[in-house]
Amino acid sequence: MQDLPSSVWVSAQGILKIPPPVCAAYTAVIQQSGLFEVATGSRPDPAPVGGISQELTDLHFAHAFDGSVARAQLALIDPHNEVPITSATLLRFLSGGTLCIADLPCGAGAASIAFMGSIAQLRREEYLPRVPLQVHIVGGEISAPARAYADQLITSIMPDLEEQAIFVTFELRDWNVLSPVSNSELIERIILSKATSLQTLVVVCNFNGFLERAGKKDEARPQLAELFRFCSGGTNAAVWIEPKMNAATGGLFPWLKKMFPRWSAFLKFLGSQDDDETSESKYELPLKAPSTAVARLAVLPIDLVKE
Amino acid sequence: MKPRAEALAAKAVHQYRGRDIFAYLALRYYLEARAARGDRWTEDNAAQIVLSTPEGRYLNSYHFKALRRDGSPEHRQLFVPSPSEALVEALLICSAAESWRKERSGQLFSYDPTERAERGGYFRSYMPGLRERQRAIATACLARPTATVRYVDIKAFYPSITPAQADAAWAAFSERQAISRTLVNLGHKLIRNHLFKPRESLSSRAPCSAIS
Repeated sequence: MQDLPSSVWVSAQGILKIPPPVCAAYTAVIQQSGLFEVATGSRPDPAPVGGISQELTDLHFAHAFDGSVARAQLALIDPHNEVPITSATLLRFLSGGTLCIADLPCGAGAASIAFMGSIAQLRREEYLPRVPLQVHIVGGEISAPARAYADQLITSIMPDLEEQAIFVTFELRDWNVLSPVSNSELIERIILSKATSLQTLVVVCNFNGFLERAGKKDEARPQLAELFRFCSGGTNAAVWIEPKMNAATGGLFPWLKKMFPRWSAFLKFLGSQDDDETSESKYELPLKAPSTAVARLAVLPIDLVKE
Repeated sequence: MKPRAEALAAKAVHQYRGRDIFAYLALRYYLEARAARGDRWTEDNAAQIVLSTPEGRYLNSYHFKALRRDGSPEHRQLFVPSPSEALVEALLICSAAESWRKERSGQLFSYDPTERAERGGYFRSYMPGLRERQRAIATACLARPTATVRYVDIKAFYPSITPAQADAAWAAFSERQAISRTLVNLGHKLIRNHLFKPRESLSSRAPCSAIS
């Protein structure tokens, strides 16, 4: 996107800014959870990847949530015009109408919150028209504490979204990508939401830690195929967002690109086999402004169409 | 400074400036958003908004038509579309115009679509077409001096077209002219939207109702 308002992108300094209502909601939940000291302290090395327990979830939420929001926002607003296919796809689905976002694994809701918060901010700034957008989020996440954070955050930004004609309902479900039954239950919820949502956007985020580094991708493959197959058809698409790091661009993404031809009956990869869409940008830390960190993005845009 | 509205947005604004004040104001408000002013927004985003909105959003508007014998006013009932749908109308008509001209019989003198880059609404104004029609009648009269001219005015012609008839006409036209799949779906969607309005036939002079 070009000529973006300074409340989402400060072009002179090249700094991405998370929209104020999202920063306020995150700050409030961090404070209510007694995590402010942890979140404003130094970031552990290696970076936390989350987990099922409260402790691992808290550590990830305190140190990595803002980076995940910034990464998803970077994929949408694409200020450097480096991920144009992904950005155009996301904007097309988020412009208006009825939409189901399948946010997987949703963690604390970073991707959905980043998308809807950014669209609301761009509407507030008269960059995008204020067209009614009815969103139903089906979030799948194995960590119950992460689902609880997502619940609080989405609920707290809903009034700001409604001011911009974005009306959200959501359900957050226990989802284990290695379990066929858990996966089918999640898919059933997505299918049910199709009765009222004429678009489905599957958003897969930050999964390389589990699938690539923990070596689970082959075990997850049938469930991923089932997910894409059932979400295919009509006006549907998927974006797979990861941090730009070797585990993603050198491991998970090449593996997915090998899978795509096998899944060609129900999806079409929109990117290049040789080069991934990648971008990076400084972003202002919501809890330590005006300090900045760097968000690194690698993304695969996918059209969910049947042959 | 905001960018200038591109061809499709300008066309929709021109169309509704003279047609309905509320639709015009809604478009102007919508186009305050800089991203909506480009043709790409219409082709990609407005099209998807229309396709993903289950029912059409119309404002039931009444326009003065004539005075009855008793002096009371008679109105046309119009269902004016949302700004996204108005932009899609402009896209559909501009995209279908070339194919449409190929099929013109020489006996139709109205609803001549304007070129995409041309200023003005979706169709050329009525009067030049009327003059052309009168000239054609004069030529026919001179060629056949003993023939009779019969004028027929079909009352409420456009409202008499049912959505099913319009749908079938659009399907046949788009198949003959190999219209792109997205545009075909958009055409069917606009016609289907009319099914959910509180009457069975198409609105008076709905721009897309002229594509047949």
